[in-house]
Amino acid sequence: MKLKLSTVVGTLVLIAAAAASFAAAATLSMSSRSLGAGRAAVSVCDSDGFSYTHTLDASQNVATVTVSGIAASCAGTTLQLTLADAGNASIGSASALLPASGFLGQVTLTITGAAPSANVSFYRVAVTS
Amino acid sequence: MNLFRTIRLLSRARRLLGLVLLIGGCGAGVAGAAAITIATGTLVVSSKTLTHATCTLTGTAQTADAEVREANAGSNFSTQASMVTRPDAPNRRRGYLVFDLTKCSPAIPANAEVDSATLILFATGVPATRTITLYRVTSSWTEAGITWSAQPTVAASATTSLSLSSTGAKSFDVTNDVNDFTQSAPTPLPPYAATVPDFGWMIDDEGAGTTQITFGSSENGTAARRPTLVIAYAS
Repeated sequence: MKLKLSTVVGTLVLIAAAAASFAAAATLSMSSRSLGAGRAAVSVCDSDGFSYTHTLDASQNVATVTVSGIAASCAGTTLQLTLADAGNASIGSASALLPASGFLGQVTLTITGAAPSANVSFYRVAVTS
Repeated sequence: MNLFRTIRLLSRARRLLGLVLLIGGCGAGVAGAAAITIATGTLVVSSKTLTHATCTLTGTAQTADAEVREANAGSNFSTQASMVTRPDAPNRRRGYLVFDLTKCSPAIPANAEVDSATLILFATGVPATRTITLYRVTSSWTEAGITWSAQPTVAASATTSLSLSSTGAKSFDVTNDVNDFTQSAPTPLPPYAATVPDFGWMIDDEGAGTTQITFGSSENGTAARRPTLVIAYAS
């Protein structure tokens, strides 16, 4: 049986690419309890979501957003909030350091950027260490 | 001959396999490293999608309103077609109205965030330019029981005011009040320490003089002249 070198190489490249993609997919998996890859797993500090209330300015732009229901284990981290429109473009944002001690599970953020309340379609939150 | 060639090919293929797997492994390693970078810095990623909707309330089934008169302090004026404001004692007149937010269809979800709320009053009589002020009512009252002598309490500061110089539909911005009503109910979310009850608004003329401004009430025979509350909200 004759084997063409190009066929062999092509097949091997496909196998390697598939292996690489599986590896990447595996590292992106996330459970409700932990987020991580390999030996670098990090505990998620809050897994049950947040609640939001807002205030508006005289032009009915979002002035502040209070994020509540933040688990105590998130104390000492930084919470970043992004307000996005229907096209997922950022129209306002804010961030705050959650105090390491005396944290009450909520934070009120003053929004930077004119974000008409009627145009806000998403709240995006990232809590980072 | 063919056997030797096949062996050579397999030998070269083996070396190539090692090279390709090495490259693939590096690719996977890079992907893994990127994920680790995210994992070590990000503790929570959360998202909430907001759905926007509108509710319009008007008419007697959704509105309670009444006028109170200082000169008839013990009488109830809740069934007439209009409400009148007048600033001069002892003939002062005020209006009270409240909308039943539970009558919205579809129902406003719990703790909804208000985008805007507009109270539309139709002025049917404006003999002179007057400033009309709205105050949030802070204690309970009933349409059939309210009188000048039995007025509810109101907030210390006004919700809004509007200068009127002509008849027609007049829009008052009551966004912040309605936002408080909806966001704090049924269970208050921070920063609300308690539910902010919806007792409506008092309509008042705090100026001087004897001018009477007349607004259509929920009992008005012309639908367009009845008080209307338009709420745009997100949940």
